[in-house]
Amino acid sequence: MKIALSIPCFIEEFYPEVADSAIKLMRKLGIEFEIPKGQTCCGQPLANSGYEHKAIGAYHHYVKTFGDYEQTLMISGSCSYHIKEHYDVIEQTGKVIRLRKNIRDLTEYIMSVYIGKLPKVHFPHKVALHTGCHSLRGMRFGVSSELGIPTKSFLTSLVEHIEDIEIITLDRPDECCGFGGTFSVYYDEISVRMGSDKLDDAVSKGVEVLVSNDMSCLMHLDGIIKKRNLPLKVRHIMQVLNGDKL
Amino acid sequence: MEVDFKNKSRDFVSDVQRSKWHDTALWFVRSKRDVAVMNVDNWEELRNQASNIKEHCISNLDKYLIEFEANAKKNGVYIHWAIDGDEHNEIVGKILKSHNIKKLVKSKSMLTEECELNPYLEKQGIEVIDTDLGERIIQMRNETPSHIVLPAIHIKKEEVSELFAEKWNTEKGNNDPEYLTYQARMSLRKDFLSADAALTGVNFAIAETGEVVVCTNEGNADLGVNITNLQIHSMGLEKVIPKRKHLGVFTRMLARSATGQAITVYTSHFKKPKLQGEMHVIIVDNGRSERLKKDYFWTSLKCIRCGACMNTCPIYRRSGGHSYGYTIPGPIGAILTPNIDLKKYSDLPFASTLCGSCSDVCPVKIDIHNQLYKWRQEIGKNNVLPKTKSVAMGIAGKILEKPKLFKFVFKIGRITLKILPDFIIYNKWNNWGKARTMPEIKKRKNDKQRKNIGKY
Amino acid sequence: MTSKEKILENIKLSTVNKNVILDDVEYLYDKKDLSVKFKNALKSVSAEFLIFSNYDETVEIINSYFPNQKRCINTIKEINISGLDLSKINNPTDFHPLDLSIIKGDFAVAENGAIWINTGDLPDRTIPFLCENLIIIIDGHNIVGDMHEAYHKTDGIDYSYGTFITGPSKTADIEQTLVVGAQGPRKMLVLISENSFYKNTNTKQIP
Ligand code: SF4
Repeated sequence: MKIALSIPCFIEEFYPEVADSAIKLMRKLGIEFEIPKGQTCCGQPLANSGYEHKAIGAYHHYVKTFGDYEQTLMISGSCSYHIKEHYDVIEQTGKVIRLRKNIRDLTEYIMSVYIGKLPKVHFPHKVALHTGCHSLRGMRFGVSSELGIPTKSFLTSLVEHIEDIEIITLDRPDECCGFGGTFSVYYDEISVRMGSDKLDDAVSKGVEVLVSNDMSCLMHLDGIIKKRNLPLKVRHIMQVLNGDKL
Repeated sequence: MEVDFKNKSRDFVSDVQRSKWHDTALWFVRSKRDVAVMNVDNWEELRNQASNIKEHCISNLDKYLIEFEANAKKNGVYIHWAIDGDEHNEIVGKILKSHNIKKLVKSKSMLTEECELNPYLEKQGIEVIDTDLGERIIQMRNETPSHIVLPAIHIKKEEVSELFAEKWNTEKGNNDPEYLTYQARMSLRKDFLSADAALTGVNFAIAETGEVVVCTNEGNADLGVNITNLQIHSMGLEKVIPKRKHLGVFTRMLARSATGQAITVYTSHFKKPKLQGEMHVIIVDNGRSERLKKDYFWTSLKCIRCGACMNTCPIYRRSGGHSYGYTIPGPIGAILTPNIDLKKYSDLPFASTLCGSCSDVCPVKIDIHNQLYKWRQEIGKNNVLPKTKSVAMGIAGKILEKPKLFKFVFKIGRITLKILPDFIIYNKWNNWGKARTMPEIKKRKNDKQRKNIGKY
Repeated sequence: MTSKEKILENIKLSTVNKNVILDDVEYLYDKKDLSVKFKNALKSVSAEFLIFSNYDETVEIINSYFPNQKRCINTIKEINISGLDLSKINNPTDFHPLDLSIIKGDFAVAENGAIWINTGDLPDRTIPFLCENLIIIIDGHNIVGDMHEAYHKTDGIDYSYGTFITGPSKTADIEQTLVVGAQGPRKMLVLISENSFYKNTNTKQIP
């Protein structure tokens, strides 16, 4: 099967090390894949700002870049959710349909296919897990706390096998971090407060690292951590699973 | 004037202590709701049923409204139809006038807030007393509710104490909620005993039997209606449901979603007037049938006004209800208001991270966050946002299509503000930086290096 | 065109392409431990309860529970407590102040502690709401599992006004602090009869 790795624009520019760890982990797991050239952005920031009609070009470009692959794995729950859910406004060619059907968040893909085969790694830290909201409530990886059935975090099952990791549950484990794309700059005060509240809770519980499958949430949280000089670090789950040291 | 959510919410959240307290109080309600919901075996199944009943009913609304009217009339109830808020107010005014009513006691009704009934009646010389404690507090403060179930959630007990001391001469500095509630009870008792008509909202109207159901906790609706001889119930036309048996679904869900109670203290079924009494029901449209026309957005009419989406919304909790500038705030308010005035309320659908918590908490399964996304597109398409923003979006759109230009902007744009000012304005990166450090741009491995990483 | 015609016309135009079919749902009624569940529910809504076996007992219970209730309305003839003479009062405002009301509940609901009152049948509709203290007497054998069954049980019953009452009135409108006793009764006592003695209540008996 021809697999493409899709690296979100902001990871490429700000967190290339996350992409590198993902690549390493995929190779360790024996996943054959390509990284298509000319990747830009899925168009989500535009569409979430009400300019879907101006994002159509970006959609077509994304389809052009990834449409020939049987499976696209993206290092982001949020971007892959956007493509699945909102690429319904362009003409539904065979390529578009296949892309929307087969695009997956890399983390979720690894969990579903490779859960028992992950390399043995160490991560001797106190960790709080954060599933991005689009992954949790959009794609239903895990069960959100609002539903009338017991909650489940899909990240927990991924890190359970790491022997020396200590998982700490936050007071509001699946409350939004406050990023929300352009929300974070339109309504920056509310956005920062949401992030800060989560971080304060983490600090008070002695958490050392916040781990997520969504680097955009972490970008926002890390911005606050650095500004406030909090004793916290952020890591993408790919880095943890790949065995990167803190 | 356009609603300025951005600035109002900033003011609210910058009062750190108060906004934290507001957030905690509402999260507490959400937590109680979670416990109540987990106590029901088949909550998700109930949500499906509730959604189905409502969707069925709304898509056959004319039929059920006619059935409701016919059955209510058989019960000796007067039915009135109001096309908008003004007509609703006129109808109430006329009924009261014809009975020479001087004092009306009202229990909680968001609809009458929507129609702005109180000022209308007061102009006619009729005294209106809101009898729900929270509503009474905000009435005395000349405010509007900031939450549809907890109207005074933005007010602290110290402020209530001051208010009561000023208006009712109660003990200064006694902030005990129990004491304050008792004082309100004593004052409201006088109002009940001297009122000559009562008005309530309606939670459900049953087509099959013509009865209306009112769910309350304080006992104020039942006291008012029964003490006076003239009872008026104002209902939005979406409140009708087909059969009595459907109440089984909704009475199990409403209070659990709203406050975490298994059921409200009083679930009252008003079917016929008392012996010498008169009972009126006013069916109000006020834009609802227009909303029904909209292909995607019509399901917002399913709302049973439980307020759960407000309690769960991380933005509402930190912004306060008044920031939304409408009677119904929070996520549901943000998808109702664009129907009323797309430009005026254009800020509201953006006041969300689209986290989806509202949709998951909603007992009737309104996909609120998807509707927020869709409203954003309507707003963008209709160009009701400032022009500069729209131009900037156009440029950004072009950039995303062209990988080379995209890379260029990403690397240069942030540093050289002058090169592409619109893109910067759109991105408002300066807002990012106020309380967050910027992520650093790092040099990534080139494609050739990448080919080799992780290879042994 | 009247407003009614305009509204209905507009609705017709709006709903042409919509028709969601109503699902038919069958409910399996909960029949297990209803009495225990009901009592737990009462506790959670700040209602008190006592079990009794005959009416003579109730007088004693009531007197010790609510001593010195000067102004009282007793709507249950089997209970030998005299109260206000309702025939002499024609305006509910004249009841006020009302210390105690004693009424009959038709049946109770285990999942939430609600009690169905055929309020329209009372001598006056204000009786359960105006009092400071409320006593509801119910048949301990007449408890249904949940609201689905409760509505099934009251289906087709001709009442002019019926209420599920679930505990004393309450509010949390001041800072989300729960206060028992808002505008309605401030205390509620449920007297649960061990023996089944409502032979002819106004509700359908479920086999
Ligand atoms: S939208 Fe749903 S959650 Fe919000 S108030 Fe309405 S019914 Fe409740």
